[in-house]
Amino acid sequence: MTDETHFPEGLKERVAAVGGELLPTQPDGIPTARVDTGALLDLLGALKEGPGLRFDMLIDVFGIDEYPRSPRFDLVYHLRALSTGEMVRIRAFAQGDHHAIPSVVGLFGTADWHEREAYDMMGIEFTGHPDLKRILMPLEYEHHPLRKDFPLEGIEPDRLFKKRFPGESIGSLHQKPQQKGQGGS
Amino acid sequence: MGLEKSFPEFVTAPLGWLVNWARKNSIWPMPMGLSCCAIEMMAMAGPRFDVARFGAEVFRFSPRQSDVMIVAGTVTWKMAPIVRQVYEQIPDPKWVISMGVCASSGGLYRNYAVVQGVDNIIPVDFYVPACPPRPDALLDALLKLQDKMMTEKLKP
Repeated sequence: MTDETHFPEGLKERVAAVGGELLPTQPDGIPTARVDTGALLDLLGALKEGPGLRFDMLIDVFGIDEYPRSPRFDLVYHLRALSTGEMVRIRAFAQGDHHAIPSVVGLFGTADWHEREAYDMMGIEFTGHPDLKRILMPLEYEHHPLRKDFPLEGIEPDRLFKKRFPGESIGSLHQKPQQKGQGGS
Repeated sequence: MGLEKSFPEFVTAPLGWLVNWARKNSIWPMPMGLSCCAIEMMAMAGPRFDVARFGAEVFRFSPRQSDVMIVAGTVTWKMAPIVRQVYEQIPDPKWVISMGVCASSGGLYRNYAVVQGVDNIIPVDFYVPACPPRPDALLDALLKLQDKMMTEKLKP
């Protein structure tokens, strides 16, 4: 399958220049490369600016939780060359206790919200991100719900509600309708 | 049309009954449309199902002008404080219709983000099942609510 993969112009050279390795191509036919975390920015910059085919559009950034493997989070970047429509996939692991990986917002502005989502859902720290805060869950939320070790039912999902409306216990409201029934004056 | 000529000069009725009768025929719903059920709620308000036949066509987007809140859709924990605040802003007396399985029980969303039934955060008078309910089902809940309104008592 790998033999049939069409590699865009200058891709192999640029991956080799930063010490990356080409991975076996998946059935979708998109050439895939893995790089060290430190070389990620160099590779994405080279893919964007050339030499060779310029991949000038960042399609997607997302994390894969490989729990309980270590390193745990695998970041996947999809790039497209607008001139030919060809795509390439770059993968890199987040490093350390904080699952840190350099932010690519400086190269591709669209990565801003993608990285905020990955931070919100998985807790990946994108170093150098201009405004790394939650994008989907409430700002005061304390967990990263798409992690594999997060229970689907959530951990105290009503905590923020109880904080806002203290003294309410869930279920105590069921009797309330019977107490209504006054009227105007 | 001359119809008013056939009306009597005056009628007598218990005051509580009269208030309830007026109230049930001029329901002003607060459309808490949170997801796809809101489309069916809008269909109910439209000409085909025509909730105006029952006097509840005046959808008010200000809770202070409403008396029935129709919670139509998935209530997330992020939205829950807002739903609760809107409910508290509705002046008494007030009623709540929980429309669809998501609002009634969480529906198929058994997860960290969704309130497992809006009765966890506000009291509910009527639950309308299905996903989404047909506008007829919501109309039925409104009619049952009208019956319930007739049982309300005036405070002495």
